[in-house]
Amino acid sequence: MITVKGLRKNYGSNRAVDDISFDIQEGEKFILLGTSGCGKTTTLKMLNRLIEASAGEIKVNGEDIKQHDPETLRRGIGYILQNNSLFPHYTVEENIAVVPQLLGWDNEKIKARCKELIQKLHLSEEYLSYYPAQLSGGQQQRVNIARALAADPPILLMDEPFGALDPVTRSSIRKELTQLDEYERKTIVMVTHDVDEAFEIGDRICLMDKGKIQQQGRAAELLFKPANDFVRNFLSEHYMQAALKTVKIKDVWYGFDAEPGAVAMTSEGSIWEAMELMQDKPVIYAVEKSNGKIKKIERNILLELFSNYTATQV
Amino acid sequence: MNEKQQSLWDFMVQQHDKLLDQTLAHIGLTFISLLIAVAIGVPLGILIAKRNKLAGTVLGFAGILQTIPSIALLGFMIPLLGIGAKPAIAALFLYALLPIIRNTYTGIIGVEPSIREAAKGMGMSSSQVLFKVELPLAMPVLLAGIRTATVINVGVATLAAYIAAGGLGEFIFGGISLNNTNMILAGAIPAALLAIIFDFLLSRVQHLTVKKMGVVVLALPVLVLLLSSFYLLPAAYEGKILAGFTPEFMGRTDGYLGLKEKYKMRIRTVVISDAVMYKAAYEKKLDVISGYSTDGRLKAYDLVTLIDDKNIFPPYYAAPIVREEVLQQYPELEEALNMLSGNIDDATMTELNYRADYLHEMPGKIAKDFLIAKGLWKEPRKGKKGIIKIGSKIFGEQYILSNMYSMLIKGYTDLDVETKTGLGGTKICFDAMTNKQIDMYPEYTGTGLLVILQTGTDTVNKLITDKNAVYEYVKDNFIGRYHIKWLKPIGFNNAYALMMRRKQSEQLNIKTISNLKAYIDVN
Ligand SMILES: Nc1ncnc2c1ncn2[C@@H]1O[C@H](COP(=O)(O)OP(=O)(O)OP(=O)(O)O)[C@@H](O)[C@H]1O
Ligand SMILES: [Mg+2]
Repeated sequence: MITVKGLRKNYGSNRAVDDISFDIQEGEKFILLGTSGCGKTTTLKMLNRLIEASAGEIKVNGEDIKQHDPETLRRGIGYILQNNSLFPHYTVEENIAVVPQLLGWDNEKIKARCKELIQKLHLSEEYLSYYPAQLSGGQQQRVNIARALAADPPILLMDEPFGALDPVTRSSIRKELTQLDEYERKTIVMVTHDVDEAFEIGDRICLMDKGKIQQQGRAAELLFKPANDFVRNFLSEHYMQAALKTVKIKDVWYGFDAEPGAVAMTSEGSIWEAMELMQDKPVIYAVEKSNGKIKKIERNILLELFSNYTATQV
Repeated sequence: MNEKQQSLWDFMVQQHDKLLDQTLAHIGLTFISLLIAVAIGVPLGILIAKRNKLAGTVLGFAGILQTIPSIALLGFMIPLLGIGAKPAIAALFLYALLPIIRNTYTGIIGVEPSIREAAKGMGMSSSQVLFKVELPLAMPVLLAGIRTATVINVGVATLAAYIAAGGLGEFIFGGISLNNTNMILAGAIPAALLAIIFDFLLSRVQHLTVKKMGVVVLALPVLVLLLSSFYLLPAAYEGKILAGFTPEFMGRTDGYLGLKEKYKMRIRTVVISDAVMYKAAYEKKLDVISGYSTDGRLKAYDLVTLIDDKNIFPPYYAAPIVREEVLQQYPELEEALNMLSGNIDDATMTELNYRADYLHEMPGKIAKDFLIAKGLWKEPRKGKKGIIKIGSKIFGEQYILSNMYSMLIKGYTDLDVETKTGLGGTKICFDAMTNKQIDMYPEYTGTGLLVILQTGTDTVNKLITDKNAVYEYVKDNFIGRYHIKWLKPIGFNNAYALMMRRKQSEQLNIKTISNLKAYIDVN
């Protein structure tokens, strides 16, 4: 859906983005991860032409984005910034309505859409008439998401959307986002420097340093087959947690015994998820969605299987 | 106090026509210039917010304009735009420009970058970003700028009276010159009220929510346009001859009132400052002006005085006036000051004034040259016996005379001198004297008779043709009332006079004020 080839951005002699290429499939969640100043934001903004590339090519649905004027391009791409980017002189409703209005939707449709979104993001309807200053940071960021989703754009660009929030709010809003029914359909490019967040959301992760891509691929690839020392070092601090989130129950499915019981999760879930469920009980039951097979999962067996699995991966 | 309020009220009621005219003209001047300043300043502010490179230059230039003293700025406008509304509006416009440009710029620059970026990211075009996001968010700051500009303009617009553009300054400056407190207040109070009211109203607008503000901001230009239209340019008078009179002259019985009463003159007039009047006459912006007969500019601009054939202008013989207390303390002072007496006649004074006003020589140098030529100059004795505080009104002749007196005192007595020059008009100078802030200054018999003593019409009519009678009258009354002594007259008579360009007066064969009246009646 998005194809980037040989993308560069120079600020004077500083190569902020230095010859990067990637392909993003429809519905894929693509994460730009890296240290501060490595060029994540610059890369993201080149995708909606808030920054013009110095060289390279960006195609969306096979069309070069330079073929259309930037306004048209941007109206078709949702954009979420870190924080403080709601229009303070507009109510929540007017904020959400910005893009639909630019697209010339009729008022009834806009109103309905605003109501629908505010409900989806777990805010009560009365908030529609509030001004951003009257909302908490978490509520503001929900509205921010609603605003980006308003015209139902197929692509969402997010630049550290949860960066300014406390960890609890951050993960709860993240959950709300991933549970939205349109979430699955969206092609998402998200910038973050939070490894946990990257591993939780990302189908593929693009790890950058000094304007260059160090490695891109599925989470497990980065974790278990790091391309270089930078990748290894970057992930080392979060290795355990990342691994627990990366390895799925289905990866070690062979090691459990079939036994009927009250199903707590599917085999698609991560080991991290299973461990969380097992905090107060030694045994849970998981189901394999494709054939309905139920297996019993015990904590000590789970941990053993996990360490065997990671050993074979490295 | 009660009595005073009563009479101020009386004055305002009596002069309500003029007061209304002046107030409307004042509002009109303020808002026309404001409107132009907004129309030019806001786009300029937006431009420099977008092209930051220009910001320094534009703001710097507007800043310099603002530092030019208002009266000087008005003066600069005269050669370019003449007198009347045009230069006044131009000057006010220039004053209002800086706060408006600066606040528009600051307001837009102050918009959170992430908000601007969000707006662009949503797909707004740059004009949509400007009108939907940047301007609304900059509006409170922008309005604060307009508010500042309005208050500045209400204040500066009082000076418009100096260049024949009307406004409440006519009363204020007329009142100061005429020592008429009611007249001053009748101008100053409405001017202050205007400033307070406009400031208040705009502060209310400024504190509205951005949304409501939108409505008001749209209504504002309409309102401003309406207020601007109050400034009806002086209605079409008949007649070709245009007179420019100072605010002081307009209000005096031995001025415009006398012209109307004794000569039955009906002449088209504008009010103007004496600082620009002579030049305006020279440049044919005015035909008749109310000048002083010893003014140096008479010579510089080749003007002639018209003969006062019905004697409405009383004699204005100059003499030093001194507080009696000071003379008793330092008796030697009187002799030193009287040395000038009999040494300067009309022609000499005009010549000295010409050097000051037109050749721009320093009053100190002119005074010294003159004293040396007359053999009166002596090296200062550097005495420390006491300090004499010499005042002077704010024009060249007074500067020259006060310099001469300073030199005479230093040379002939052991007293030292402190000069307090530029004390505005008669009222300021005389009040300084009665408050003992100054000990002496040069005064004119006619001013003493009419402005300070406010002598009744009957007495004036009896005295007016006899210069000695006037001198004796003021001398006696000043001692009696104020303990201030008139010393010997210097010799010249700086009386009011009507003046015209020499050429025009010859062409039209106008030699006397009666000639002028006859000419106006026919044409
Ligand atoms: N407008 C600009 N002018 C000059 N240099 C810039 C500009 N914007 C970014 N840079 C430089 O480009 C590099 C990449 O910046 P970028 O904002 O993309 O980093 P980032 O990865 O998003 O960092 P962070 O995680 O801190 O947001 C940095 O070295 C930065 O200094
Ligand atoms: Mg960034």
